[in-house]
Amino acid sequence: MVREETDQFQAYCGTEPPRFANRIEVECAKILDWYGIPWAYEPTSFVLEHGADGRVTRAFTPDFYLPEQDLYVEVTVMKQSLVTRKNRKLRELKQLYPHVNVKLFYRRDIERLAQRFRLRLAS
Amino acid sequence: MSDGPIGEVYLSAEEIAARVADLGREIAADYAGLEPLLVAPLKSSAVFLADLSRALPIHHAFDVIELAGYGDRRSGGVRMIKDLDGSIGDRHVIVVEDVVDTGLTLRFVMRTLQLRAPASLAAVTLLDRPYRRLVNDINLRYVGFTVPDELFAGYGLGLEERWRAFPDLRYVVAETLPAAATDAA
Repeated sequence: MVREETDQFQAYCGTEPPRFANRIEVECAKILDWYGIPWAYEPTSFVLEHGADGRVTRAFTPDFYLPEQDLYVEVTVMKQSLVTRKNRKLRELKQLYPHVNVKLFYRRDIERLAQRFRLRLAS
Repeated sequence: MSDGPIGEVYLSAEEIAARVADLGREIAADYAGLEPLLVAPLKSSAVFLADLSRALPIHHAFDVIELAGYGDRRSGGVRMIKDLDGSIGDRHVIVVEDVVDTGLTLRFVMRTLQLRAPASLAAVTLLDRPYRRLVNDINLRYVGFTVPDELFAGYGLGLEERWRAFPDLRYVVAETLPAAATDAA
């Protein structure tokens, strides 16, 4: 878990300091912040499945939400061949919540962004 | 001179010239009598700007801006390090981009210029790579080519300041890239 102080972000919309899962998420947050795009970190969990007792058994929590774009962004650094489960979750999300806009950024997308923004992904 | 990570030609100089001529005619039809101002962010849009200007058979002017790169960041967010030379109040402004990818850079430019009360504001890009688009409020009115999700060099697009001068657009072989170094807005 990578904790970042809220006050170092200017476009962050949340109240609690975000606790990023990895450095890639931190860099994505910094890029959004650099361009002044308001963003929230994991503000919403979408229920995908309930158990027989009504409890939530599966959910999907996209990493970022961009309120001005009404867009959720999920970032994964897994290799393309290992994202099958995540893709399935995304399909389920779109079926259950067709009005929700969500975009999945794969490792390849992050590498493209890294090349564009000169990030050091290994750090 | 070794071509390093530079691969095959994706768009020939002739294909680019033909499309730029089309764009010039489209823009001329839409802006007849309005004497638009073309505004291009440096550096990689410079070649496209030069060709588009010469393909635009109506009176127009052009100017350039330059933004501080994210990789050179200190704090406080994106900012212009070279601003326009004059006012754009009541001018019809067209932002000229080489590539639009996430749209973040173009959105910043459009929002900044919008604050200066132009008569109208639109954008043209030679290459549109929409796969990672994060913002849509950018009025991307003219698109030269919608390109595959690849990296390119040539026709103004550089890679560590090399290969901008290729007259055509060539694939960059990503696996051979140095740490991080290409243009793409």
